Amino acid sequence: MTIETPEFQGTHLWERLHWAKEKLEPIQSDYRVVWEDPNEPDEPAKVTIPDPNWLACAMQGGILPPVQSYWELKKDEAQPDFKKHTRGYLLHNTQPVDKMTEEEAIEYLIMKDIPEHVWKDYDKSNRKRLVICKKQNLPGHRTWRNSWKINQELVA
Amino acid sequence: MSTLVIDTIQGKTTAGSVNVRGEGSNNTNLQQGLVKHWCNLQADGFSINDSFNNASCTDYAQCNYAYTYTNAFANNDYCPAGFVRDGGDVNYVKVMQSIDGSNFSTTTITVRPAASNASSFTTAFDPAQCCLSITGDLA
Repeated sequence: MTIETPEFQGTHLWERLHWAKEKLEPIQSDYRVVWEDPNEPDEPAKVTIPDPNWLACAMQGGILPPVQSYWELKKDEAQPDFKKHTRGYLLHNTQPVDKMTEEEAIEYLIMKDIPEHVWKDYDKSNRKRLVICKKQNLPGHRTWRNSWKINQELVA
Repeated sequence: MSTLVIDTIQGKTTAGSVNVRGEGSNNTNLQQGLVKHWCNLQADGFSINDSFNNASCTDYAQCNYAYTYTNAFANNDYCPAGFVRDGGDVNYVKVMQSIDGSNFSTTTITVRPAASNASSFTTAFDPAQCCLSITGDLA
């Protein structure tokens, strides 16, 4: 059964999430984003996973704000005199994004939750630092977790 | 006994502030008492069991995880509380601690479970579950 998203522009994002939690089934993704921070070359690869309730919102459409809203808030927070956000309306009053495919949602999440210097021009660096893969492509156990690196031969 | 059937409670003086009569003559502010983010992270297999206002989790390394929010907090003075569920040695006290202040922002927090007993301290383990809930002001 198709669930229609109400017109949410101007509704506090917090209220939209309440609606989504009640109406939408969580979606567990098999996708994993594996990334390395070039500023921390000795650190192991990181793995980011989408939240199932968040992914349900992304694929439903009309709930989440544009990713640029988060970028603006990050800019505000990076200011040395930052005390608190005064532009929360960027989350609540901007036109919500349309429904996304699972792949598009993963791309949105990368730009929202992974540092920009990691994903920007990631495919032009000498060393691959970001890969989207499936859960089964990761090691099956965490015994050597702190040694995980992106296999450069596989992603080349 | 009466039943209140409504969709929205809104403050009359200030829309986003509703007081509930507490003990004696005390008033409890409804909005300030609500948990604004929670997440039950299955750390040993790295998946998310359930959540609210959580966008993603990142596995930084063994015993080192980040949670990011969908609705950002207004500032980074919010109050996280954590619970570590682990089937390992029961003679250890297990807690969640922050990594450092720089990873405690309005949109994300990085945590590290730790275990200690009278003679040792360790962060070299992935517990079964890392549960986090946060109270504070939203953006």
